[in-house]
Amino acid sequence: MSKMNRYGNVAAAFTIVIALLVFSWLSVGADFPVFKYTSETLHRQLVPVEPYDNIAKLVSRFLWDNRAFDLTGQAFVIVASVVCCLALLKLGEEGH
Amino acid sequence: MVEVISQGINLPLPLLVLLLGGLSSLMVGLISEKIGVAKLREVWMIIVSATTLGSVYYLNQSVQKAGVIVISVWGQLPPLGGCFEIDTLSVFMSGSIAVLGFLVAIYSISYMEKESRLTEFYTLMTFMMAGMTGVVMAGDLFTLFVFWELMGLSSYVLVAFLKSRWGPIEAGFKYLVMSATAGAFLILSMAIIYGMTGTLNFAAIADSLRGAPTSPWIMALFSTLIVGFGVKSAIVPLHTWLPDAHPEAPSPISALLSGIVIETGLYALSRVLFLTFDPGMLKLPIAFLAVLTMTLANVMALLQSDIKRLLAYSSIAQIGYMLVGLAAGTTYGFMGLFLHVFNHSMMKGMAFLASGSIVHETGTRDISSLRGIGKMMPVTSLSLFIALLGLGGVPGTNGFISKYHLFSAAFGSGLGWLGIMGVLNSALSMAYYIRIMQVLLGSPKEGLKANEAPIFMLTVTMAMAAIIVILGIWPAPLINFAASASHSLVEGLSTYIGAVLG
Amino acid sequence: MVPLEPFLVSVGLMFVIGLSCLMVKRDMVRILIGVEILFNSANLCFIALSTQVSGFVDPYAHSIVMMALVLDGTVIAVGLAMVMNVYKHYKTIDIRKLRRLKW
Repeated sequence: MSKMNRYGNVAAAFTIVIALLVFSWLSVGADFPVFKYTSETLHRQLVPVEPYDNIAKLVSRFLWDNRAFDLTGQAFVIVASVVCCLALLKLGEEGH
Repeated sequence: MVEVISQGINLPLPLLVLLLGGLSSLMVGLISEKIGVAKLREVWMIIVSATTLGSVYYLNQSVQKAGVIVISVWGQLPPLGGCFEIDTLSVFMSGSIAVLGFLVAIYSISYMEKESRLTEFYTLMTFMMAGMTGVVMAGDLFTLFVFWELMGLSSYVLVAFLKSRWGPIEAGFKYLVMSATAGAFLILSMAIIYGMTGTLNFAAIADSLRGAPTSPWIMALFSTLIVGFGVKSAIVPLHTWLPDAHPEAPSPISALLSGIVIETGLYALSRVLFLTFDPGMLKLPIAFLAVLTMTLANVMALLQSDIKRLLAYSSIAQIGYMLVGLAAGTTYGFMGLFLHVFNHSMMKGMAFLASGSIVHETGTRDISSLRGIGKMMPVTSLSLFIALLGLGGVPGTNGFISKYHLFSAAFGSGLGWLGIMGVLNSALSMAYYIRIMQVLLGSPKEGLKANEAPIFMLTVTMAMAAIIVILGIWPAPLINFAASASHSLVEGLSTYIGAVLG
Repeated sequence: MVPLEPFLVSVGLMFVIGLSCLMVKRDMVRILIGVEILFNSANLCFIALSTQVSGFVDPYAHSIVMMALVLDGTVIAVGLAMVMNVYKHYKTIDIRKLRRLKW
């Protein structure tokens, strides 16, 4: 049992070191192609940075104007998670 | 020919039925506790799933007329807003979901009779089917992620449903941690796609990112996508939750999980990979993963002594065969993949349901102590026999036809070694199927007594066995449907893009 | 234009910290905290990439992050409910004791 733990820890440490090396090479060595591939028909709405406390208001207006469907889907996910917690935490009948 | 529906609130009809059915299942459950009418929840579940089947048929009519349907709500058009984009492939997948869900709903009338918290069970099963339907119809990466989380959340708790024993809880926790990690990888891959293109819409990504030359960040995107979708689809280094979760779940949920949830993961993987990268880049990595998945799963399945755990490893091997079709990358390969998705849902779903009947009657899951069950439960054993023949790929069942298409697609696209490995693995898998069949046909030991399964469970297993044999002898309508589905994925790409970007 | 490399390096560091917390810790609640760190690093990547047009901020990425936060919260909530059930059975929340289902 402890040998499996030791192998597990060695494997975990190895994975972490490899992941660190790969990610640092990626982010510093290769340039991230920022927005290089936008298509021409994409018109994006951008929000000016300057009045800093205005950003939140404009972001929430964008959210309700363009992503209302995902918010509805999220409401269903929240209902599902409430039902999940009910199913896990309700006391079943005795003997089950 | 495209059709864009965007005024008011509109949802694709199967998704609307399932979401509203889930909410109303909650209320029906609460009412039925007050009134005390027996089996009200089960009847409501069957009504909801039958309505879903009818609405998939109706949706199929509209998609045949219109080509691609784009649905968004309140006039919020893509590519800035979320949308659904329905083509023939989405209808094919949601048809598979609806058929298997209907059969499992009938089965679980008598299987889950004596359990508590049945309201939550049927509500969560409906939400899981709604999540899957949303995943196959999504036209935007974030919409896919919202419904992916809905499907995943319901399945974590359905695996851990029988919480009075320690097994389901342990399996459910491991499944949750691995699947949540995969969700984090998915969000990271969405961030990388957003960083490169400025949008998350499928059609816009296909328009801009598709022919990009291979660079380190593109390979990083490929890896995070495979990890993100691969945990749910049980590709080999990421499959370790599956042999614990599928046996410990209640049998109807095992059938749904093995039959259609992991295939929905594979659908999402193939759709996103096909739209983001060109198929030449996919061949070698996915072929390597396919060989690894098939071989490891078949070897581990030979060592099992628990019938449901053996069927779970067999599911992983079947996902390996489907990855062969994805590695081929042609229309023919995708046709084999989706044909095998439907056939596997029928065969593996029926294998889990029939072995669930056996476990329900005898109370044990160990293969060697079930010797001779064939004499006491003849109909169930006959259906299990037919399912195992189908899974092994014996001619005359629909499993043979889909495997034939998969491996000949591999040969036809230059990956001959992959086809040969597939055929060898298929032959190897017959070894453990024959072991179960020997146990079914043996002579009974003294202490084994079992009656035939209750009538609902029997009817469902017999119906699915009949479907397997009929589709094996007369596969033409299903092959045509799968061919038009894969045609709309591969060659209908320009229609798909033009539907959104105009 | 805000320089991107520091943000990407910190996203990578957070990702690796989250993965190592997930793999090494043996307390189940700490494993769930590791999952939460992973989710937060992916959200940070979105926000970092939304500032790359000079003088402007893209609200698309911010709205995606706001919705992803809710989804991650629900997953962690269900995970904690499962940890409570594990405690009822095993009387401990050490994940190394959960090795009864093996092979």
